Amino acid sequence: MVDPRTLRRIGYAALYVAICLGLMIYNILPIDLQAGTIPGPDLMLCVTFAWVLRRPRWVPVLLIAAMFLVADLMFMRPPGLWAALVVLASEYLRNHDNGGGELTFGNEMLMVAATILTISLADRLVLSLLLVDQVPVRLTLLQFLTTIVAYPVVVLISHLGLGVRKMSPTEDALEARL
Amino acid sequence: MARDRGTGENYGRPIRRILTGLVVLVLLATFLLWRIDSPRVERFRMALVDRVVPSFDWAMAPVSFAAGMVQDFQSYSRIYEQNQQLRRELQQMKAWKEAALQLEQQNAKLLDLNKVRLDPKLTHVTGIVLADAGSPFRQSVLLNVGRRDGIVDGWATTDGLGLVGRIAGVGENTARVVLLTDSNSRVPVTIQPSGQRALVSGDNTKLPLLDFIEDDDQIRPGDRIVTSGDGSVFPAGIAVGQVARAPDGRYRARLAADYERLDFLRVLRAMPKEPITDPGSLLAPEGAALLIESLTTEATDG
Repeated sequence: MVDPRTLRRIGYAALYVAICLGLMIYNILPIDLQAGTIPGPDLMLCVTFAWVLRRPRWVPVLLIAAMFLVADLMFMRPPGLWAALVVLASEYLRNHDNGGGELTFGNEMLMVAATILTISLADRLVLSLLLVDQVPVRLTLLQFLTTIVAYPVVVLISHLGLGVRKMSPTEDALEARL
Repeated sequence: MARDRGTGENYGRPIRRILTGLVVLVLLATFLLWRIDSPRVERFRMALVDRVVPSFDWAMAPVSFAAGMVQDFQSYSRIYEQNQQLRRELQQMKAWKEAALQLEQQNAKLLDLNKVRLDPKLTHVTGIVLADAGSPFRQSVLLNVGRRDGIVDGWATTDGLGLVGRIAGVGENTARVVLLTDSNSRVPVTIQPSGQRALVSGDNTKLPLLDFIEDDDQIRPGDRIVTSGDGSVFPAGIAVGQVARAPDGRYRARLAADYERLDFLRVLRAMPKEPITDPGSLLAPEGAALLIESLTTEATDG
C-alpha cells in the first residue's frame, strides 16, 4: 500500500516533468523564425522557482538538474552551465524558504528577481571568462524582464489551476516528520 | 514551529548538501567538457536531437499548423491593404519581367559567345522544417533530411528565393541549419553591380550586418547581394538579398529569403572542387614525371 502523500509527491514530480517537456516542445516549434523579436520569458525557470518556493519536496534537485540539462542540449546552449546555475539558485531559494517561514508575495518577487538576475549575470560572466560567443546584453536583460513579468502569472496558474500551494505549518511539520 | 522543522530535517541535510554538490559538479564538468572538446559534445547533442525531435513530430505538426492558421487569419484581416500592395507590386513586376526577358536573351547570347558552362553541381535536396532552436538567442532550424539523404556539413540552404543559411550539424535523419541572422553566421558575399566584397554577419536582428566592405562609397541601398564563393564556403552567385542602410549609417542586408515562412528548404549539393596541388601533373601525364626522373638519374650515373 503506497502512502497517499508519497503518491501525490510522485504525481506532482511527474507533472513537473510533463510541464517542462511541454514547454521545451513548444519552444522548439518553428512558429516564429524571425530574429530580433523580444525574447519570451523563460517559463521553465518560473515554474521551477515557483514550485521550489511552495513545495520544495515536489521538485527534487535531480529532477531540476535533468530537466535543465536536457533543455540546454535542446536549445543549443552551452550544456551544463545554465543547469548548474539553476540548481544552485533553486537550492538557495529552498533553504531560504526553510529558514524564513512566512514570505509575502512582494518579498518573494524581489528574491526571485534578484536570483534570476544573479544567475543570468553569472552565466554571462563565466561564458565571457571562457571566451564563448554570447548574445548581446540587451537580449539577456529583455529576457530577464519578460521572465519577471511572467512569474506572477505562473504562480497564479500553479496556485489555482494545479494546486501548488504553500503548506500550512501543521501540514509541513507532519510532512517533515515522515 | 520553524525551529521544530529545522531539527526534523537535521538528519537529511548533510546528505542533501552532498548530493546537490555532486549534481552541480557533474553539470559543471559537462560544461567544461563541452568547452574543451566541443565537436564531440555537439555530435552527442545532434544525435540526441536526431532521436528526440522526429519522435515528437505527431505533437508538433498540429500545433505548428494551428499557429500557422492563426497567423494566416491575422493576415486576412489586412487583406484589403495587402491586395492594394500586391497590385502595385504586380505592376512593378510586369515592368521587371520585360526587363528580365530581354536580359535573359542577352545573357544567353553572351554565355554562348563566352562558352561558359554553368555549374552542373547545383542540384538540391528539399527538406521540411521540423523545429527551430527554441531559444530566442539562437537562430537555427532543424530539417528532416540528414546523413541518410547525403547531407554534409557546410552545404548552403535556400528557400527558393534566397540564401537561408548553412548546414551545421548533421544527424542520421535531421540536419541543423544555422540561419544568416544567427550571431555565429558569417558569409562572404559580393555586392552587385560594383563587385565589392563583404561579409554578411548575423547579429540576432532581422537585417544582418554587412561587414568588411572594401569601399563604402561604391555601394548604395538597393544593390544586390550574392554569395561570392570566397573561402569555398558556398557556391558563388546565390542571391542573398539587398543592401539597406540602417539609421546609424551602417549597411545591412535585407534578406531575399522569406524568413517568416520557412517551411521547405533546399539544401544545395556542393561537391568539393578538385584541388590543384602539383603544377607538374597538369602539364604531363602521371607516368611522365617518373620517366623523366629515371632518365635524368641514368644520365648522371652514366
